[in-house]
Amino acid sequence: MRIKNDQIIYMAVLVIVELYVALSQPWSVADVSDGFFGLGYGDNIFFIMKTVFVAGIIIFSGYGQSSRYVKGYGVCQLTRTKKRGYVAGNVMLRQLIRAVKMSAVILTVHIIVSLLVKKVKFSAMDIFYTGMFVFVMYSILLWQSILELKMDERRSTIIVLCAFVFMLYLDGERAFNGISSKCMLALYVNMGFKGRMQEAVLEKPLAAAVVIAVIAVQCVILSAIMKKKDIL
Amino acid sequence: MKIEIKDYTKVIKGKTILDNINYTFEGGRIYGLQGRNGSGKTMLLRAVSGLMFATSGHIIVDGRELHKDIEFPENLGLIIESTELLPQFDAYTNLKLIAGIKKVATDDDIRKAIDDVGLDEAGDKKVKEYSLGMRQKLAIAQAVFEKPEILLLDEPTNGLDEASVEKIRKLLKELSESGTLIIVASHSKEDMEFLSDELIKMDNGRIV
Repeated sequence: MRIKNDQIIYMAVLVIVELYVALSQPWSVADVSDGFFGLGYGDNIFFIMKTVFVAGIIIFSGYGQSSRYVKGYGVCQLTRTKKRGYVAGNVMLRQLIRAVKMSAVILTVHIIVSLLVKKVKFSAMDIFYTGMFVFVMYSILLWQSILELKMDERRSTIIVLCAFVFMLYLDGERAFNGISSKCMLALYVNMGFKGRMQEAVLEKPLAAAVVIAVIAVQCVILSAIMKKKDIL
Repeated sequence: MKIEIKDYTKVIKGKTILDNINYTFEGGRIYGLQGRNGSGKTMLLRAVSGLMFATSGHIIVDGRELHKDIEFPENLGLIIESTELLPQFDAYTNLKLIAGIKKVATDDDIRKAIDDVGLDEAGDKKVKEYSLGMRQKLAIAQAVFEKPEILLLDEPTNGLDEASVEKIRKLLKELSESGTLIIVASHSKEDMEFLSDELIKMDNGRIV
């Protein structure tokens, strides 16, 4: 797995942030899904920044990738397969691989840091929460791809990152004001974070179904865009 | 092989990029599109390749209309602006991966194309280590190695030295003689005059 130079810088910053969070928490063990993406409500600002930073690494790793692929190697594939759907499918697949790879790297950093400072605790539910995080990140990357194909990479990345932060903030406000947990379904990026899922008492199958449905709709949108897109 | 462009117009964000183009291209000839930057040469290639949809008008390739009967011309080789290949692989591997899509080119075809464009000296160097000229040669190899019936080339000699330009000219002449319909866009007057059987001048999205 190839890590680019700028991502090494991000990883170094992430290690520092992880160490700070790990050393400042009173836990005797590090619950993988708690420390990794246990973002709850009213968490300290450093923890929230870490969450935004982690998502930012993943979003910035996708910067320009979809438009470059479609205009570059994608043209080679398009003129040979004669199927715009094939290229759309490759855009979706590449973003899925990106979401999984980046999440795996970040999770590895978290586990290594946790091992250095305290014991690491796993549970079966970690698999579910990890999966939800990866799917939410995948969905965000798909929005990035959709916007990139319609506008440009800079605007799409800014919009996606701002929308992510805004959704986190809005759900915090929802929880603080006692508004129904069902509203979280609209602010679905929050379902990638264990702390929020638990505190909102949202049924796990429903949450998973919503995220998967959103991804399915995004795939349809992306295919429709590719079908009519001028490749310039 | 015949490509007919009929009343083709393309408007992007209110600006007319191609304006009522009418032309017929036939196989076995090299057509040179010449004009200043922004004259519409690249856009015309995009239109013929199927990458772009018309605002009005039609392009008919061997009796079949683009975006109605077919999405893209059947056997097409193409270089348009940044034909980026996979930087982590060498030339042979890049072409081998592309060859796996249509499965019409053999290993010999791949090696011949690499030799014909003068990339044999690169050996197993990765594309990310290539110079601009080497990337251009690989793009040309990618366009020709499957023996296309239609070859669309946008500024194919960009970044190439004189000896390489000569190789490419020879290659294009050979392909044309074997029946390939070749359309080359360039602002190099020398290339156009030497290479083209027919010169088409463009300005402001029109054929003049």
